[in-house]
Amino acid sequence: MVSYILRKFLHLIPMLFVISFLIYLGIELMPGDAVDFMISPDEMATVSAEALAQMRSTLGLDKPFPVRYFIWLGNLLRGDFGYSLQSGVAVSTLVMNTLPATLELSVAALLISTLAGSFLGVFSALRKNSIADNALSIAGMIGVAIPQFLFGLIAIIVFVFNLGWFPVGGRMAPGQEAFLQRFEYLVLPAIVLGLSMTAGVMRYSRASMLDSLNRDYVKTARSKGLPEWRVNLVHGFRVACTPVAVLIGFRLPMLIGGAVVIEQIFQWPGLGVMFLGAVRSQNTPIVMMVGFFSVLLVLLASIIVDILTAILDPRIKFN
Amino acid sequence: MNTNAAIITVKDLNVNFYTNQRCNRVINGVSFEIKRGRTLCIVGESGCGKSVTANAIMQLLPELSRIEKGSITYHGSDGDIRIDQLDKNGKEMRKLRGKDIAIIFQDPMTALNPVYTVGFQINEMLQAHNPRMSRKSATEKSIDLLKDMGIPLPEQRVNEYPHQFSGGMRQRSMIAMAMACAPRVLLADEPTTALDVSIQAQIFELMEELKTKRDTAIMLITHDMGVVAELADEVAVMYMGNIVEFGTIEDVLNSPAHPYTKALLKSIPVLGKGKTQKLDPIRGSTPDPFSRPKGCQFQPRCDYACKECEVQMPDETLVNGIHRVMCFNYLEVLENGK
Ligand SMILES: Nc1ncnc2c1ncn2[C@@H]1O[C@H](COP(=O)(O)OP(=O)(O)OP(=O)(O)O)[C@@H](O)[C@H]1O
Ligand SMILES: [Mg+2]
Repeated sequence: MVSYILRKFLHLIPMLFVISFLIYLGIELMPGDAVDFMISPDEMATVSAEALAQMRSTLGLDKPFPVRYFIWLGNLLRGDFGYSLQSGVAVSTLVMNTLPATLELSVAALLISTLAGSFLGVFSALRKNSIADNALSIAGMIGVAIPQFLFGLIAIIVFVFNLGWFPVGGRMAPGQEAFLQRFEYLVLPAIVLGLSMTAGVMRYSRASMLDSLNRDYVKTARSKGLPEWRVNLVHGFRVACTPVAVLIGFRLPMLIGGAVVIEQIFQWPGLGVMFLGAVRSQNTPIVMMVGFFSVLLVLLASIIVDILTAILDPRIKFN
Repeated sequence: MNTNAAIITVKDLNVNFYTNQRCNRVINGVSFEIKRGRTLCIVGESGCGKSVTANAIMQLLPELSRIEKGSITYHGSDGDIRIDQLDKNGKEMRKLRGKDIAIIFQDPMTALNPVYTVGFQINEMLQAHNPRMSRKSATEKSIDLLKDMGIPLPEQRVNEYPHQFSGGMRQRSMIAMAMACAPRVLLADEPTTALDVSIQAQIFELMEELKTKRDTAIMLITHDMGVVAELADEVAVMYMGNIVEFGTIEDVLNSPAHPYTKALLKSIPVLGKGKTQKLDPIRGSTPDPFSRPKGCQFQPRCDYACKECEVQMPDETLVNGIHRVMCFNYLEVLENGK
């Protein structure tokens, strides 16, 4: 298994090169550069051309694009992720400051969507064609169709402004850092992000469960005289959960993508908020770092999926 | 031999399917008995309702199908139980399943759960009916069962997954599982169709042993007359949801009274007769269950068909002893010899 994971990482290296180059190119192709964003348009007229050139050369922006890319890459290989062009803070520090918030939100949403999605899916499959099943199917379709930001906005309007159940946004009140104290800040964004993924998990586990329940081994289980809960869960669901786990694994990157949106809406001080800010101000080192992280995450998801399937399905072996 | 020791009595069983918003009368009044220490063979072409009959006895009919009429009675050690009146997955039915009546399904490749070891799946059967049995003693029993079924290295095999077993070994594991609680009745639904001939012979040998040594009542479903000749004590020939002929093995093989039985016997090669023997496939094909022929179901394919056959399905007539047939012209068929 260790050699398998190592090989996966080796495969990743060329991919990281290509993708990091593409991200760099993307930033380059955006009009303007970081300096344009550091100086407000009003001041722009008063700043001399020399001063601007001076700023560009201190930031290393005067060099041609390929050179800058390779400098960045060289630094990266030496473990130096660079510094924010605007604040001068090390990118690694910035990421370490924001990553926990994003992870907290994502893990909470992952738990919600996995538990609620598979529970509702299995429930639906066991009550096929009942009113509850149909209602859940419709809810699922709506859930898949509604964009996350809209869902978030509706949740804020209803639960924050109308009902006042939750704080408007942010992650904690000043000085209240214990998990329980800031729990109320987490609830709404986690539910919104989680529920938006629940629909997919639910639809998928319903289909997977129905497929499993139609298999011969379920009939065999029943023919042994096992009670229905055992037939449905120990035999039906146990087989059905493998494809569901794969789906959830492959959706991990989507979860982080969703977190970027939800963080904006709820002013959740995570990686996403920082990332969007950096893209807007062409803060290349930050964008590159986050992009890098995302690629790693996609890879990590696929490794997790492979490990999960090998654990869940004895027919599959690592190779 | 005590021929009255019926363990299961099926009377006038009717099963309908309501799939695709249409009613398909799959079983139209079949009656038979499964007796202790005897093998009842059910033969017939694909789709005639053999599996449905077996599943009805186990209350394992699929959704959208139900027992419409008739009775299935289990003559248990403490009184008769009307299986058809039991709650489908209720406690009483579950107590019968596996413990008193066990079933082996047609396809061993799909009948075992791929994510559990074979041992786990046999243990489940044992522990379902012996709640006090520990996992350790269940596993020991499973190993014994696998050994009895002729599986080499059972101590190791018990911890393996179905995909590590060959088809023949899977079917033996299924039989081991079916026999785990020493059921009084074994329903075997074409247990060897998916297997090759030499393994087929071994499996049948196992079943013979069960019958003679443990007095198990066996209902064996097959569409192979050769198997019937070898294993059956009684034979039921099914066509389109009816038992068109029923009798002892001698009755049916030596003096078939139904044109369908006769045609079936003619359409199979006989071992030892050489390659010059004439084989007559039955002409025509099985009718679509949704547009059944009028009158006798076999009439469009029958050499003996007469006017009356097109009007109504013939009633059951007793030929002699337990030999019964559903044919207007059975005397003519009998006279014609084999
Ligand atoms: N799950 C099902 N859904 C719909 N119809 C079914 C189903 N199972 C069986 N039937 C109907 O019942 C009829 C009898 O099926 P059955 O499985 O008993 O045939 P069989 O005699 O066992 O054939 P085979 O030799 O192919 O196993 C079929 O022709 C079909 O019309
Ligand atoms: Mg069948």
